[in-house]
Amino acid sequence: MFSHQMVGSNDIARSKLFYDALFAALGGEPGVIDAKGRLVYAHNGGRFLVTLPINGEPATHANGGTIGFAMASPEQADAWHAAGVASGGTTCEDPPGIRQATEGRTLYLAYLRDPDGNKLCGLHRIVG
Amino acid sequence: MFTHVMIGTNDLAAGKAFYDAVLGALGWPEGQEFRPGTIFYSHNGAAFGIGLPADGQGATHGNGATIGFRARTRRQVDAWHAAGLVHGGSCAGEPGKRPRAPGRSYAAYLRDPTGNKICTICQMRRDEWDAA
Repeated sequence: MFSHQMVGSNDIARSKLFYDALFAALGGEPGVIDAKGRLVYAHNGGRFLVTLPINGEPATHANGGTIGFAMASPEQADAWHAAGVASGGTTCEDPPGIRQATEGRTLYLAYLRDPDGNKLCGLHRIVG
Repeated sequence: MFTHVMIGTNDLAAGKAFYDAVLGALGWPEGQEFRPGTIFYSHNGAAFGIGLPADGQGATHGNGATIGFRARTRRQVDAWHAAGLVHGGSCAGEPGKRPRAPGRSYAAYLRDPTGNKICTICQMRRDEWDAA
């Protein structure tokens, strides 16, 4: 299990606009700024944090990295994706839609990059 | 909240050796090839993958990024850290109490062979916390 996920940001206010919109689409609460200036989201038992890098260097995204978020339905995945595109993110990969995955699974996937380039996936399991 | 986390690697065999060892210390089963160039691990409803980047460029870590794994005990956190050091990782924080983290956290940090920063954390019992 994961305890938390953290991504880097070069502009916490910009990140808050983006991630507040994403979590609102999932029925979550706006992020809270903690004592270290990090943006913290707690939702469905998980914690997601956005931080300025502590080494003082610019935040960068990981090439090859993706964080997957659970979606309750295809409609919620669409709303999550639309909220991200309208709030400083960009779409990536194929447009939101059904994918046939391994082992007979059917998934509904939507992909975004946040304003700092971090890659996010909204995933709803249709079958499997 | 999270369905899966994926990170890039430039050497799939080295990445598998590293994550088989560190995730094995937390009770995760050995990684399986999901598709060519990608290894996935799954445990208690969570999935974690390593793969050669789809764009053909080198894998890089995110500056500011950390992936946090949950452990059940301090012993697991210690074993996780030790396993990482002998399988190509480097220390990014010795195992120990983290008073500024939520609850009574005991955590350790590593960089994987690609430089991705990873963390494992458990919650201590009050008697353990007070005695440590």
